[in-house]
Amino acid sequence: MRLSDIIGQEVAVKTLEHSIKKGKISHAYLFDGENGVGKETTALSLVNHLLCESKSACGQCPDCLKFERGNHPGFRLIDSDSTSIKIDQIRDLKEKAQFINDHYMIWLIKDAHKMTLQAANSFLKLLEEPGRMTVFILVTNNLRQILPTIRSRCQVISFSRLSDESVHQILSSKVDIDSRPENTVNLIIKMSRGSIGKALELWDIPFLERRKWIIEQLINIPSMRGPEILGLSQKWIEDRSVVETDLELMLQWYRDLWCTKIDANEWIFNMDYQNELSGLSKKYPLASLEQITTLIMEMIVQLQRNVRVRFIMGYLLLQMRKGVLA
Amino acid sequence: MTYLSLYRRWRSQSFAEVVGQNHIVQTLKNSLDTGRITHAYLFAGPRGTGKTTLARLYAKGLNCVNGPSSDFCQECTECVQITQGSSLDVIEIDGASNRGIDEIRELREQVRYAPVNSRYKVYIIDEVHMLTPDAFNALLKTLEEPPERVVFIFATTDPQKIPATILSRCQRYDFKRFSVEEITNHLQYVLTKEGVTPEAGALEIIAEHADGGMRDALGIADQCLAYSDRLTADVVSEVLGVAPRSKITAFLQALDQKDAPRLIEHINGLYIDGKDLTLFVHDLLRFLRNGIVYPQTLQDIGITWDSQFILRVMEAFAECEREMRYINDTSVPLELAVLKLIQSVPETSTLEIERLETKINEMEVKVAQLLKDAASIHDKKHDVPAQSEVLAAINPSSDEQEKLKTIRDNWYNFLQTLHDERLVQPEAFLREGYPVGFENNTLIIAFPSKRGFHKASIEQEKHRQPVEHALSKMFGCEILIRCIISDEFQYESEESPAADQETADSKDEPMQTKNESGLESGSEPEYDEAVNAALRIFGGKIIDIKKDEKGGS
Repeated sequence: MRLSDIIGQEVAVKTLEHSIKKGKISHAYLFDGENGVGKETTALSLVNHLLCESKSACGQCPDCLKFERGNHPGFRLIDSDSTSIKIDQIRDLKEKAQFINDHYMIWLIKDAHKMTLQAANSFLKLLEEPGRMTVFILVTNNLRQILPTIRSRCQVISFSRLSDESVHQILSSKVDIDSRPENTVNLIIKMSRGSIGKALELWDIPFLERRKWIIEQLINIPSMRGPEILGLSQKWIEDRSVVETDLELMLQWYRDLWCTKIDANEWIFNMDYQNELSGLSKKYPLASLEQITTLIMEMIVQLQRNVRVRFIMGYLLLQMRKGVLA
Repeated sequence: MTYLSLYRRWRSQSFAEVVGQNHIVQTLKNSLDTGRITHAYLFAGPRGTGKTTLARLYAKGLNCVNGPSSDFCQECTECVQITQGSSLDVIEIDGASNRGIDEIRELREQVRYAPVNSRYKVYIIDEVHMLTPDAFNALLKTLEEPPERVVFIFATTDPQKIPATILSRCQRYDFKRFSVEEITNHLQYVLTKEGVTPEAGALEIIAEHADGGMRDALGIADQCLAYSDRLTADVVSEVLGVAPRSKITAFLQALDQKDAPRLIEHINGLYIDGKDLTLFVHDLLRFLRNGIVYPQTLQDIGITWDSQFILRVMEAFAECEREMRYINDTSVPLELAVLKLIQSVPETSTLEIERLETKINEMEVKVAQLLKDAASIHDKKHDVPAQSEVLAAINPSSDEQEKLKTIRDNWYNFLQTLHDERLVQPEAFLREGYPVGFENNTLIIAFPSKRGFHKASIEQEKHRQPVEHALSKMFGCEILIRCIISDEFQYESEESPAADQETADSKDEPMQTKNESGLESGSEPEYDEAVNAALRIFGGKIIDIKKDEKGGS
């Protein structure tokens, strides 16, 4: 894939293209951005450009063909073993990176924030002054967890969220976009918040049904009574990834209620429920909407601290009921 | 071949090129020139402040053929080899990779051999904080008493992790972050040499975001030049993914005006543009912090929050920054933080002030009207609400002479109250006058002709109003004042003993002394008056009165 084929990352692509053209390829890059916005795609494309004989990712020359088949000797990938990148992996890298080559030797390090402290520190000297044909590309979705000493040695290329049009464009190249009603497609694009990865996740039918179910419950809550609410909270099982998505749906819902309340309708996420939102927003005073949204965020944090899902849900739903105007 | 980035190309190669860190450069130069070479140094400081660079320069200074000297030649084999990193006697070790006891044992073996072809054997151990405790301990003996002609230089970003036993064996140098100014100047120098002319403002943004690290600054500059041939403020903002300053000010103005829909639009606009909202919040915090230190920066954009509210906003944003770490959709926490803040924004935007001003003016007119009405009603109705601070309520039924008397009786108490309420100026002016009449709820205060200035002053709105207010409050009915010039006032004051009575009551002594000194009150009214006035103003007692030239006041 050529850099010019990458959609929606103008600044990153322009920087890299310019660098290739002017021969100003840095020895270390750090690609930073949300999941699913094209960091790895861009990194692989950059590798392809550098390895190509004509530096254009022509797809024809022996180098490009080798790269496509995944056996070009000038490219190595380092990935975490699910939790971390260990010092041994970096030691291994250093041994191999010592050899001086005539061609580029490019290392792609995925999830660079998962390097252990030891691994990251032992990488510093090499990262600052590697051999003359060596390029490191570090990829991360969490710049905060990268050591400042690593960060300061790299050119940090920030990847932005994709615009709605870009998501639409990429999505239509990956799935049959006409198979769904336009409303649904727009909703998915809006909810993906600029991440093609997220959009593809949302494309699954179960997700949309899940969302419908959640919103129905949220609409019903004001008319429910204590025992019913506790019964409802039992419907969640200890599956944290599901619960996290559910909580974010709830957060967006209450944020929308808030927006409706202050007449910022233009910016609500759940466009397909506008009537329900405006009806429901009258039942809540602004202060309790404030409390509930803060509480949902707090619960998302608690979820990551391994609090039991049913406790979280029970408490949250009861508070949502409590916030309704008497 | 990869391009040699700016920060590698422009690594200082002589002491003269080094920017900043003067306290360290000077010490190291002196030690080379005087030959006082210690065997162990520790360079500690944040990333990109010149630790490795100075370690290499020091090694050159030690080993240069013409050395040891701070002014090394850069031409001899030793200097060249050190620059290239191929010297056999300057050994640069990566402490983070060779961190175990085995590596240190090996190092101890090597240390025993004399330098190959230069004066000193220099061990530069970078990232030394990553050595294991065992490795540190294995190093202790060697570090304390190394063989002759061995110099250790440790460099670290994290000196807290180094055991005290190591620290106490080293000369420690703490490297400071570079100031924005130092970075800007150095960037200017490097870029000029590179043939690039940066545009105004661009370097400052780079310097601010480099956070004191020269390598960071040069790295960002490099990246900007890769993105665009011209170095402008916009290019820098775009490459760094930060919101331009105008967005920050617009955002704060919207917050000040409580414009919720516009704030949400701002946030979502930034979000969709792919700006990092955590960075945006960070910039907001930095801007507000400056606003506390230099209030002018906020006033320039029309925001007049007091520092307490600014702190509150900063706390809210800091909290929001924390929440953003956990929530995928970072725009929601920021939106909520802002919506919460809106409810507590003080009503002080310029628009708001104008609105309030007109309101106050309207109310003043109304109050004046009301006062007039109230006065006439009071006269008829005869009911005065009892007030707690009332000195002496005037009985509205009583005729004007009585009212005047009540006021006169309490005149000096009233002045004292003014003083206590910090209305010192009006009090001082009023001391020159005396109440002479009361008609239509208006107290007439007479000033002697010599005291025209005091009369004029008290007639000014800013003095008159508080006085009227205090009067009304203290005598329990609406009282306006009118001032006249009248020299008769002296007789009046004599006529009514109230003033003297007051003084006599509270200040018994002076009266006695006065009598003792044989001065009859009334025989020389003017003189007496001056003494009384002096007593009133300064207090104390009169021991003797010497008469000076007349008219001297």
